[in-house]
Amino acid sequence: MSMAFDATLEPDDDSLIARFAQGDQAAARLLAARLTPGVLALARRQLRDQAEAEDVAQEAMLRLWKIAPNWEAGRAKPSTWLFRVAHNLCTDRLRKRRGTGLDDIDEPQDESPSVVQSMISQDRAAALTAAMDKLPERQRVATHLRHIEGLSNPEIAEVLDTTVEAVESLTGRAKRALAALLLPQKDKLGLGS
Amino acid sequence: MTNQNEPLTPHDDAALDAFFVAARAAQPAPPHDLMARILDDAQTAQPPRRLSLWARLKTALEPVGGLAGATGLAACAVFGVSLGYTGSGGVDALLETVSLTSFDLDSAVDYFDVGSISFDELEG
Repeated sequence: MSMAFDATLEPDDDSLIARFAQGDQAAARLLAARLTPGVLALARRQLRDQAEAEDVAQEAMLRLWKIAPNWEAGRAKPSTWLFRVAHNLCTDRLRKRRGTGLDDIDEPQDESPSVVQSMISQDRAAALTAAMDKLPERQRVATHLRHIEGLSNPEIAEVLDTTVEAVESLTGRAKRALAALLLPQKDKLGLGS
Repeated sequence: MTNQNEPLTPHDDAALDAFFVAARAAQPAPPHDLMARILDDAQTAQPPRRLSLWARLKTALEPVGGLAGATGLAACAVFGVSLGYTGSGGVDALLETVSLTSFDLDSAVDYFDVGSISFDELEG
């Protein structure tokens, strides 16, 4: 009941983009506060570099500001559109990294942090991050979007420019790989039965 | 251990979900300087504010003293026109004042002595 009431008070992203296009800076602040955390988290997950992730988040948001006057409400969900932009920007950066031969990010890291840590929530998050770092890039991105950002499979398919079936396959394989890495350690992370 | 092709058991699925819940809770907020840069970009990239019809009218009237000046000018114009038509008795009365209703061509010729002017004088 209260959620429905709150929902009517909260302007949706499309309305905020329209307001921004009309010159409303307050709408820009709301959009930035609402959309930047997810975009930054995705970029961080994909690039594993905070500074680069911030650059990508800034660039993705800049593209939103620029497209605002021509934004067609209802055509694409702004958050999904932004995830797609950020994902493409990250992919470009990863290709450049590979081109230089300095860092092939899909290789498992020998010195990745230990999956086994203490029994607090942050350690579980760190264990998950370490395990996700061992996944292939697209599995990692799909899993992040599904289980951290809460996107639906069709939305993830739009971000990754693929089919829903391919997304289901990516997330399924990722979950099995994560389970193989994390579940043997669950007792030590306070998740024993 | 899990088989690569088998779905996870509900128990394992729930255990894995606990890791995702922890990861969602541990998401750091974007740094303040990043948010500041993003908002700077927003200000720079923001299209010029589209003025309403009323705002554009006010801008257009600024050279004549804004809305108050324009109102004064309009009032003066209306007053002048009404004074012209009602105060003076109309166009006929105005013509009478300058005696144009009884204009006589012959008396004008006599007055200026037009008949005494020769063609030579005109050509010279």
